[in-house]
Amino acid sequence: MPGFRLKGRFALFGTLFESLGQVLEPETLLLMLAGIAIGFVVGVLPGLGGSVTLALMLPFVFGMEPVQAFAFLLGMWVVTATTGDITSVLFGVPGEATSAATVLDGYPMTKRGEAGRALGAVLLSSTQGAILGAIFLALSVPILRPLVLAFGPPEFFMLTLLGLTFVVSLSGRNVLKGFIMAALGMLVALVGIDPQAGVPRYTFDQLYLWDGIDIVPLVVGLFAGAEVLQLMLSKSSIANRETSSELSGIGQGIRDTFRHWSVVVRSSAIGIGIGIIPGMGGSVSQFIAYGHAQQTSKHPEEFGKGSIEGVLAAGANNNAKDAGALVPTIAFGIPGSVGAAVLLGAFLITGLNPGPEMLTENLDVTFSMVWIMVLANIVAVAVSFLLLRQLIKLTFIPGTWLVPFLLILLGIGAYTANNNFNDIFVMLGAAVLGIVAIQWDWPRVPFLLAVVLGGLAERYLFLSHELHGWSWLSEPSVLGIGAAMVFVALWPYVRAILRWRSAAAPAEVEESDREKVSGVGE
Amino acid sequence: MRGSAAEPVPAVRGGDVLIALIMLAVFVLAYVYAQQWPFRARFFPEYVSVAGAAFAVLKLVGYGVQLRWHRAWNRQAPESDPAAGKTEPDPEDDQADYSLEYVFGTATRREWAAALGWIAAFFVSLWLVGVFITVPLFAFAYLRIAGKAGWLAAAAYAAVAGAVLWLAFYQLLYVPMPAGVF
Repeated sequence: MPGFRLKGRFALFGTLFESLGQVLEPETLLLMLAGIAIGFVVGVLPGLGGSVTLALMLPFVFGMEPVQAFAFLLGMWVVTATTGDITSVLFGVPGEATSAATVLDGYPMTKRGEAGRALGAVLLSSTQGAILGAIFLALSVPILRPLVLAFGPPEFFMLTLLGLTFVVSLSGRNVLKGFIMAALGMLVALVGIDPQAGVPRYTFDQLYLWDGIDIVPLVVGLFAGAEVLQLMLSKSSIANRETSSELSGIGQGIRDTFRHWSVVVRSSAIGIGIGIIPGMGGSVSQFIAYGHAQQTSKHPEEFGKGSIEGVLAAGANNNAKDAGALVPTIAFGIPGSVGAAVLLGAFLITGLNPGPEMLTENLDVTFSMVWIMVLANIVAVAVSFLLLRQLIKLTFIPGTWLVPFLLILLGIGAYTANNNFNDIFVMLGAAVLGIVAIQWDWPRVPFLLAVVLGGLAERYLFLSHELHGWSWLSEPSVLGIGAAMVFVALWPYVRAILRWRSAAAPAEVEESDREKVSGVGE
Repeated sequence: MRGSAAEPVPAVRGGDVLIALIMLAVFVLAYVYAQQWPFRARFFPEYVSVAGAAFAVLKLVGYGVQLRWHRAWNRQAPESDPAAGKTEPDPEDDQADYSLEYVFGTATRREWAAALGWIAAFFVSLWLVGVFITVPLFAFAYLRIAGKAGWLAAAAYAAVAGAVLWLAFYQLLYVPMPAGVF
């Protein structure tokens, strides 16, 4: 059968390049550029998420050919992930919820006057992540099906806890504070109508709380609220003029992506892997990639204070995860993220059935998605680099001039989540929590991630218990993930002990040397 | 050994203890509140609140031990550097944003009151009269008073902000905006 396999591979390559031709048709290309333009603006504007815009633009694809529809929608969606990083780096306000991890190191770099370097690194690593993700998408769809189907609720439950433990371990010596914040986040995630029994939980007779607390106002308040207040108090520009080298670092940022290529590859791989798992989404994977980059870094202490590796990990992961999220969407009709769920609507509108058909008779559409992801990212990054000088100048505008603009974005970002003014109160509450957390060193990220993961964790735990009682706890896969969790949770303590010992050893040697010297003197 | 004169033990901050106590209270209340629900609904909240309460208790015990060590260290080294033993930001802390902490810690009461007043004015106005009146008004007033900008610059900023908001969000993207109660 080797002849048949070879023929099959040639046919696959033929379809791959045929789909490139379809994407490059003038009308399709124009639609993709229109999508990229919208995605660029939406990505830069904090709060207005890619999935929300996808939903808003979905009605426009009626009557389009499938490849045209995906050129428009997918082009827009993947670009929001790239340009969302720009506001994260320049203003400390995540353009997208999935760009929150970029804030942790990108914004401190901007404050140090290294905005150019951070943007150069995050934009190029985003493109690299997108290309790696697209290649993976092209290669993996037929291979990964049995693996994803082999996972059950117990494994998914353990994976959510593992993701949470990764992020808590980022809290340095404050691991216990991290776990407390994570538990608080879980409770926040439980607010609303319980999906199992239909009981309103922690709603305190407020109808608004029945739908739960939306993640967008929480993200905006937790991360952007404190920054705006800082600008109002200090009245300085976001970047410190005295230490700034403005655009001089772009080339260095680009070189950084090649110097730390393994961080880019590993973070992309994590993005793809987590993206594949339905419901885990980008908000989770970026922090797992960030945590992994910190744990494997030679300079973990720089994370959170302007580490280029942190910026690269977040950037690469952010774009690779979209390709991962498309894998279960295309192959099984199971959306890997909120954006992919909205995109699933486009399948139905254009008359496509997700599943085996996408790997056989509609394979050209699947491969066109691969090309769209690659081309859209390259165009977006090229435009971003062209406009970088203007974008970076924004960070030197006096703080007082940015305050009205940022307050508008805070208000709109929170309000547009559900078009409900109560979301603004949630955002303000989250801002207060964020400020208190910064002031007293209580980590914010575990809280946020627990809010994202809480509902999922409950669903998977409940299903595991309903299906297997407690016997699932002794499954080898569950025990394996559990062991990884314990290792990740204890690692900060082990590392601290090792450091303490290595610091104590030279001191002891010095002391014994001194005793010897004094002995000789005697 | 912790608490020896050679290695200062940081003091326990009252704010940290207060936050841990509040967290403990939240988890206990969450557990008690969950008891009124059927098993399917209280299953997960119970586990989360018990785990959260256990972590909070552990943290409080840790603060108690730290307080004892700190006192022991103070007794052993009363004449050492008075700055030693005070709580310093942990360089390993996640997101230890020194500039944020510095600005929050050094701002005067007057500055805090002014900043919080502006924020309150913005959001109250947003609630009362909606975004299209609030944004130009707030931008103009804030730039003139807090930013000490010229009349023309402040007016231009306010006009552009209002126009862009109306065109981009309301006309092009059809994003619903807070309309105000009046």
